[in-house]
Amino acid sequence: MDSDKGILGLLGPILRNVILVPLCALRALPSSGWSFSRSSRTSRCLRPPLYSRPHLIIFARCSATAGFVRSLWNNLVISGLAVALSLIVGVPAAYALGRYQFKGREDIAFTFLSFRFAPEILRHHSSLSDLSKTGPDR
Amino acid sequence: MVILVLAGLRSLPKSPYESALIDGGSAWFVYWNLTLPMLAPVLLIALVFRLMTSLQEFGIIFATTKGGPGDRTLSVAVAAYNEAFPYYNLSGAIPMLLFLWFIIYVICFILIGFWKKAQKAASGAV
Repeated sequence: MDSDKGILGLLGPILRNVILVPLCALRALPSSGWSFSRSSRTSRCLRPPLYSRPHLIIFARCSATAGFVRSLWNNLVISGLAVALSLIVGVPAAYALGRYQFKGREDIAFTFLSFRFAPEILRHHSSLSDLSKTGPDR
Repeated sequence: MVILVLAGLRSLPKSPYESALIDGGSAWFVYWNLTLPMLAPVLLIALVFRLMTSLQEFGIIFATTKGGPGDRTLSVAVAAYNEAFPYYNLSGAIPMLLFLWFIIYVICFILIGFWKKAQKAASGAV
């Protein structure tokens, strides 16, 4: 069965398992490991020796912080609403652009794409201008 | 979202639509029974990407409100920034971000499970 696949069919899984997976792991592990190791240290030992006793209580303290719980709640509510809004607006828009023939269809599709070209701070600036006049603190 | 769904719509095969047209299927029938099931994997992938970026949002909130007034618009990323840089409390900031990572991981894991099922259904395996 394997002989039918040819040399590439045989080498593919070997390349993937022996070279690519360890390479990805090598790339990802140091940064993740650093984050994990630093997250269990107090600020006083941010540059610890090779081994220092981890303080796992920091995780418990962080999860019990009122600011963290509030920010997590805000995050979930805002992202849920953003996703729902983009589904409600985006799917019918994409359906109309994909299925119906009308004048300027490609131009509208390109306009959608063109918002991605703009530097993000440009969009933030307009939001900031609006919020400074009618923002949540007014 | 629009761009991904548009790309997905354009990649759908034509033959099921031609069959439905010959059998006299209504526009609603075609949308509900053909387009949506075949588009479900693309929709779920778009959902995963949108959810990931919006849960990690930092730039817009930091540039406009900095989490204020009070903590009304405070996100985890901004809260972690406030811990890490003004107060130099990295050990308080990194656990927050790891919690966020874990939450995103769990949500995306569930959505990817749905995506696998939707892909099987779209290819006619189920």
